[in-house]
Amino acid sequence: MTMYFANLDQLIAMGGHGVYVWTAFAVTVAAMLWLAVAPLIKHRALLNDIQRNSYRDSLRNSQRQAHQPAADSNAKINSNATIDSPSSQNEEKF
Amino acid sequence: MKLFSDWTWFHRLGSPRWFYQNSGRWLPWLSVVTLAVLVTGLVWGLAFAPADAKQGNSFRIIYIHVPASFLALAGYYIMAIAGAVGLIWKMKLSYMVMKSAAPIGAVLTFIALFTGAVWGKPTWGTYWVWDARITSMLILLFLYAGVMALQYAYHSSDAASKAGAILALVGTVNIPIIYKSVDWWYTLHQPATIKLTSAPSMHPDMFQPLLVMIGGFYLFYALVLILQTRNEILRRERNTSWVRELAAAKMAAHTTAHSAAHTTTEEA
Repeated sequence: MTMYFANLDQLIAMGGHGVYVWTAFAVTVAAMLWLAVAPLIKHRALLNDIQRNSYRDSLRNSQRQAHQPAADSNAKINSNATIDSPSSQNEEKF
Repeated sequence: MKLFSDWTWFHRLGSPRWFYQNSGRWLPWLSVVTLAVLVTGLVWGLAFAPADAKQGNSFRIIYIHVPASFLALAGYYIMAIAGAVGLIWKMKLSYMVMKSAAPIGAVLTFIALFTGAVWGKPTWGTYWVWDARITSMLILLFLYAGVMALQYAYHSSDAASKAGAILALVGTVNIPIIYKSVDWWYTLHQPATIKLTSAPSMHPDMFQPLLVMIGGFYLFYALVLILQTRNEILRRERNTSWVRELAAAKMAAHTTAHSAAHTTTEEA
């Protein structure tokens, strides 16, 4: 298979249509790159946020436990359980 | 067959957790294949395919204009069907797919309109005409934008999903209008080059790279839809223990890799 254009200059010029062809391709490539890269950046940010929030929740739970010692054994079991699975407690939006 | 008697596969498919974990394994392969196909198609279409006898080299815009238009329309079907599945079976994952498909479809519709306008200048002598095909594509862009806007218009994500799904379903009326616009009205836009029912009106040397690009765009669409849906899963399931454990593990792995790289640079 051979290239349609004889040299690089002809490829860039595209017989006078270079401006149109290259503009269309450049904008398309930029838009598609953005479609692919933006969710990757967002993914890391989301994981970071989730991790930070769950860490903060576990800190808050352990503080609560330290300040208010459980009155009976039943309550103590409950508060222990919240440390293991903070999901049951925090419903905060971020 | 077991597949049809046993419906667990359907329920598993509807599980955000199952989808997240499995899609993570497909992503590296899908990315590599997508990139390879798109680069092949781009180089082939731009440098190796012959120029058109009438349009010259401006015709090369077809290699992005047609695939982007295909996916703008196919993406609308995917969004509307996902919305319908969400409404009928109350499947959470389906709504997440619907929400994720809207911005991707909007960008592809924009690409189709933009490349069409740029192609129009040397071919028709104008960037824009209020032609039936072009106007109905512009309406498609507004429908995508409407579904996107509805996702942020409600406090409850459930209400937002339902409203989005209904708009997406109503908007499907526009799809056959777009397809048929070049036949129903006298338009400046040329009729379809590729039809399932007849041979393409294009030389094989020009047609083969176009097929490669269409395949590449389908792969690309699947890739970015999976990426967006995974983010949407994390966002909606952020308070579940599996997402929190996953985030903790990912961040721990990231910091270890980071500090390891740091120590090696210090040593060097």
